[in-house]
Amino acid sequence: MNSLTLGNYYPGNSLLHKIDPRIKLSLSLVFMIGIFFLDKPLSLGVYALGILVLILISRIDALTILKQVRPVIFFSIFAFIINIFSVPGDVLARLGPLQITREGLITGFLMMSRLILLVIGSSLLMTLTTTSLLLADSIESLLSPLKVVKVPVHDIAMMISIALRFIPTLADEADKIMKAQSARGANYDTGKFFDRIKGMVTILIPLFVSAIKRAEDLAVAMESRCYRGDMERTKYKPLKLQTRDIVFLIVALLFMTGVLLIQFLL
Amino acid sequence: MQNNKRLQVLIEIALFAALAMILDFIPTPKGFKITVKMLPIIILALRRGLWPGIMGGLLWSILQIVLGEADIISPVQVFLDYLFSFSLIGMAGLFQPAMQRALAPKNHKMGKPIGLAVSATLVGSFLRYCIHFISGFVYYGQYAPEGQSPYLYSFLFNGTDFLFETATCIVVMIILAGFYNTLIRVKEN
Repeated sequence: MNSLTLGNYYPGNSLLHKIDPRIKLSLSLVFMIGIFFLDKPLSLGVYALGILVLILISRIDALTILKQVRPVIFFSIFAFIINIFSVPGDVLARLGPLQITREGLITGFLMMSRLILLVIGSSLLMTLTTTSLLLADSIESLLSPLKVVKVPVHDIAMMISIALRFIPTLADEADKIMKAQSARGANYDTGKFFDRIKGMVTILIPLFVSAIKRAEDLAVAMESRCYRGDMERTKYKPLKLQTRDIVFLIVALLFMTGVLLIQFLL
Repeated sequence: MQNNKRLQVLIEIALFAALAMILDFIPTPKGFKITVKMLPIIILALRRGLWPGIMGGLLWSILQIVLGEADIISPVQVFLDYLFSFSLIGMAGLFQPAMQRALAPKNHKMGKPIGLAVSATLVGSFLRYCIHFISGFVYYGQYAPEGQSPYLYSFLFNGTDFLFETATCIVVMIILAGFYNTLIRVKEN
């Protein structure tokens, strides 16, 4: 299945790609929380500048960045339009019973840019510049304090890596099953609604059965290689904090503090 | 042997969550807003019970976040809309003991298993969309205009999704009835 692109990782070699994923994950949480306090043009503008710097550092092209916004574009336009008409203030224009106010225009625009900046920021820091395996590793690492309260962090991490490893395999299998069933005359593109659902089921059944079988085989294979969930697993490339990670973290935190100071003091 | 069974359950959880991810690539009837992506988690829950089901849902949501399929607008929204709501699909596992009993080799009537499968789908899906509804009016509601009800907006938005997805999953569950023995019943070894 060649058309299958997994995740939206953008391969690259920039500084942002190399920063420790745990730092990026925690920072995107900080930025996400931070942006919710911003509702003035100046602080949002400075925040936008920061995001622009991140984009430049990451050397990701504008089109890819814009694609990240697609899922929220409908919603942000909706929020914009609703705000134009609903916020009271100086009336700029009238459309029948509706009126567009200056304040509405400003609030709508700020709302929209806040949402878009948020989406760009978090995808820049996380999915665009970090492979899904590294993200999973960093989730495990950040969750590891929960081991104290008996959360099976290790099991969760093992399951994430197995799932990520097998998504392409299972997708490939789904593709094969689809072709095999088409060759037998199954049909999921034409016919009545109910027939199409039936066609879908002819793919689902072999897919489920093979997943169950595969799980059994995999468990036996891991068992026979002495896999023990409770032992600390070693990694080929363990995550290690470097000086540049710390510097990046400090600069980013200072920036966020600055933006919040602008918001609340100016 | 005990450890082997536990490991097998863990791997089944991983593979079923992966299945939920890839059902995107299976053609669904065009022009209809339907999806059966919840189905692997419900089948997992009916096979292995409550906790594996919940873990499966949780894992599915983590995969969506890690692979960049999630719409992220706030940490708490991510928790509600993904981690929490998808885990709740696993509550379908409440029906697992009854289901396994109903599928025991001596039983040949299909009425009871179908009823249980349908109720499991309903419960899992309903709980999931309850959380989507809450997150809808809390997080997307702040973008709604003042004076207009975010509850109604969230209800309409999530309600239609809920109806379509649940109805499709139930229809598929009923069509699958002949295969419960292979898909859902866990054979003792």
